[in-house]
Amino acid sequence: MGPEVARSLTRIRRENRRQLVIQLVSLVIAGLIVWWSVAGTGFSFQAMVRGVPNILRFLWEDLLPPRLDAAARYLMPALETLYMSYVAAVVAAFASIGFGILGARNLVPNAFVRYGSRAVVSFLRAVPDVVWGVLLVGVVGIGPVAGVIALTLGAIGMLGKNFADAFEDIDPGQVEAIRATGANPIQVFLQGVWPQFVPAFISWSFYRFDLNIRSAAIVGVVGGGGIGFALITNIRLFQYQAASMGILFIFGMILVIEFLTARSREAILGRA
Amino acid sequence: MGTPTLSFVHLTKRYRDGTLAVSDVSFDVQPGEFLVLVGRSGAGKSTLLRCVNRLIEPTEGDVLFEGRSVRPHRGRALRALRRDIGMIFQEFNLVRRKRVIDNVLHGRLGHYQGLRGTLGAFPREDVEKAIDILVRLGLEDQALKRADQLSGGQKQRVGIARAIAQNPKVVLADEPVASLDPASSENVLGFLRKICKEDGITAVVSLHQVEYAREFADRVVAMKGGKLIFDGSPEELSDERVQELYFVDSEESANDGEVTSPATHHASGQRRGGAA
Repeated sequence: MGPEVARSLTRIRRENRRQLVIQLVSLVIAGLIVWWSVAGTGFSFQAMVRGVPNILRFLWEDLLPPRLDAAARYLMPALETLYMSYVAAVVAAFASIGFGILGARNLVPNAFVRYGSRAVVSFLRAVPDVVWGVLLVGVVGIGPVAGVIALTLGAIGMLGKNFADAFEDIDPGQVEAIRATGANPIQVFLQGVWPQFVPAFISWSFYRFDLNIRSAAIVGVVGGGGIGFALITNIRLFQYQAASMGILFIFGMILVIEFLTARSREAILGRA
Repeated sequence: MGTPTLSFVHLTKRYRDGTLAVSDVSFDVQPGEFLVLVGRSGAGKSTLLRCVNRLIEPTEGDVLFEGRSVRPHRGRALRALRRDIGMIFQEFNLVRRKRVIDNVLHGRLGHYQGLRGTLGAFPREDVEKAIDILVRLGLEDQALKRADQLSGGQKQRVGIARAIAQNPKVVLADEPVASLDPASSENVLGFLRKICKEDGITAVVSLHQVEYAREFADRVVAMKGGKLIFDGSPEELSDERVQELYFVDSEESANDGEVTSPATHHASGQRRGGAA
């Protein structure tokens, strides 16, 4: 064994030892955090294990079987959820175009405007939809109006950011070419920037519509109308078998909408 | 000879990072001339072209378009200047998600007042004009295809069509065939020259292949390290001059492949890139 090989070997062994120490320390730290969290929440495995029969009994005796005849009473609330999600998605999509433009480095040179726009959007995103729901139910009262506004604010928080990023990702060459023809700024935007933005606009807006349905169910629970509100009403009245029908209904609706949005997104993008 | 179509007058462009892209370049382009600008990548060709239609602001010196400075133009006047100057790009820069015909019609945007053309509804006579141009370039069958469905050579012919649709007095072509194979390159340059000659359009075409310059140019101007180092007929562009232009590196060659011949040496930092 030559001296170089010996030296490499020592180096590799030292490195392996170092790695081992790092792994052990990480493990100890992770363990401490778990212990701390368990102490903080009073979590106990015994309670969880002891709870299992209760959970099963609740599932088996109270929730199941779903009352199929309760389906009818979810129809109108489900439609309401659909309307809420759709209106919120459309309003948010168009509002977010504005926030997106103002937040894009390549479109707005002024840093104050840009950071201002992005800050507003970040704030809307930082507050969970359900918290917007609680606040708005307090302001405009129980019902779908509060739900729609809550969903819209949440959607702007998401779309405003993604639209701004999408605008920043466009190919500057295509924009430069339109500018070079002597086009004015509005023409440059609509003919050079907008066509490049369309795919992101369609994809994100449809995806958000999809998410709105899930979100709407939660926002409904806190009083924002729609199927979530119908569900929580049944739960409060201990009509668990009707409630499980509602859960199935939400599940089905999400699947159907997801399928439809995926298909229409493909159709629109394939053509446009 | 009357007023040159373009006059470069001690044109200098220094980028904010200190790199000197174009350094004190002066030459004239006569009406109807097909001028080829040669030089290695980074010689300053792209920057020079973009100073003409002010996609880049010159630092010093000027460009005169039909005897008038391009530098004071703002807003509407600047757009009118750009309308008179068609531009063709190395990467074609077609709006990829738009149809071929729409891309050609983009050349008309500078002719409209207000919001016309913003939403993609173009006047009938302009559509006819665009089709006419596509026919001249042999592209009439592609008119309704999306721009991203074409081959490279076809894309660049659409690029030519868009520039011609402007009814320009000058066409600037920035490495129009650098992304194309040799057969397509010959084809594209042939079309470009033919149309410019037929319509009496003055052309400034940057290329890095000297063979094409010899084949297509009325006159050749060569740049190296931002400086003008040759101005003459294609025949005068001897093999020795080409050697000097492309292969003779100075002591500064360590600087990111930048070249400066001793004759054109200057103290300031060289730049890579007509990047812009």
